[in-house]
Amino acid sequence: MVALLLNLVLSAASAIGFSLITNAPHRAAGIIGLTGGLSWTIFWILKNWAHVNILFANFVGALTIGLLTYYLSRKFKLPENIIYIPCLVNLVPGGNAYRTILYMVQNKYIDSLEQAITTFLIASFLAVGLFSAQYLVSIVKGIIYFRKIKR
Amino acid sequence: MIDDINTLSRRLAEKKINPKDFTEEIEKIYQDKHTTDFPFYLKAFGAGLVSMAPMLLFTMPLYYFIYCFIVGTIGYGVSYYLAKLSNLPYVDLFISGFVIALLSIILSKLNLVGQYHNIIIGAIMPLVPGVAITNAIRELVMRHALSSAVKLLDALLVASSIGFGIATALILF
Repeated sequence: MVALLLNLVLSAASAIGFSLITNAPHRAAGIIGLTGGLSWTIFWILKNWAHVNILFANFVGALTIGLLTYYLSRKFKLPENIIYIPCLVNLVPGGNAYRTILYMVQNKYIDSLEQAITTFLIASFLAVGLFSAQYLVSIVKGIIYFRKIKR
Repeated sequence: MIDDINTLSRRLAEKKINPKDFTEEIEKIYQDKHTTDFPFYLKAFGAGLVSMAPMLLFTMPLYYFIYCFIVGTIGYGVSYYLAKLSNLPYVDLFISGFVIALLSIILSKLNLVGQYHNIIIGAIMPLVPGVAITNAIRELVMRHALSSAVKLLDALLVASSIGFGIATALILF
């Protein structure tokens, strides 16, 4: 429980920190903290307690970001980019990218290639998660629209 | 600035201000040309917060996060001021990567930390273009192939300039 709370606080702080770097408006800070904290905590629970594959955990984290961003940006009238860029910074594979270079320097080329492929796969799955959030929303919208036409 | 104009036009649409005031306000915003740019200390504080990346939780003792905060703040400050002094790209990131790795190695030489790799991973988080890579792939999926290719190439160059800065420090010391 303490671990969960610590994760929530740290990820919210780091999302708000990145929003300060990218000059997001003041009123967006709370929303960014909420979205970033929730998405990271869901990712962490899936990875460490449910032991699913890390790629799928990243996918679900990005999906959470996409859906929350869609809802909150329309409710509080903010651009979508402002919300999802700082939240994504927690999930981005910085450690793998660093280890790619580290192993390259230490002449472990096979390990370096492995880390590079992992980095690319995680980044792709984050993008796919964001995209499928958009796709899900548009499909739900389409179903509602066609139901209205039939009546 | 864009946010100000958006808020203004929403207030116009809700008929909270009349069009005459609206044009005056727009003129005022246009003459100020101020984008909401936070002062440097706030940005450096934000960079320090980003450096305490939650992915490092439980891989190292908790008080290491303080070192992460300090090193990340210094690294971001170096890149911020170098980007202001000269407009040549990529060199500022190279130097700040070098400084970050150097500081972490110094910390480990002083026996303050055992493993300095985690400190470096945390401290480069504000500089790494992970978001740019993810955005590039997202645009590729949306069929914006040209802009995605440009962004991907730029992000790779930025990432490798940080990486070679760190690698230089690791080789030298």
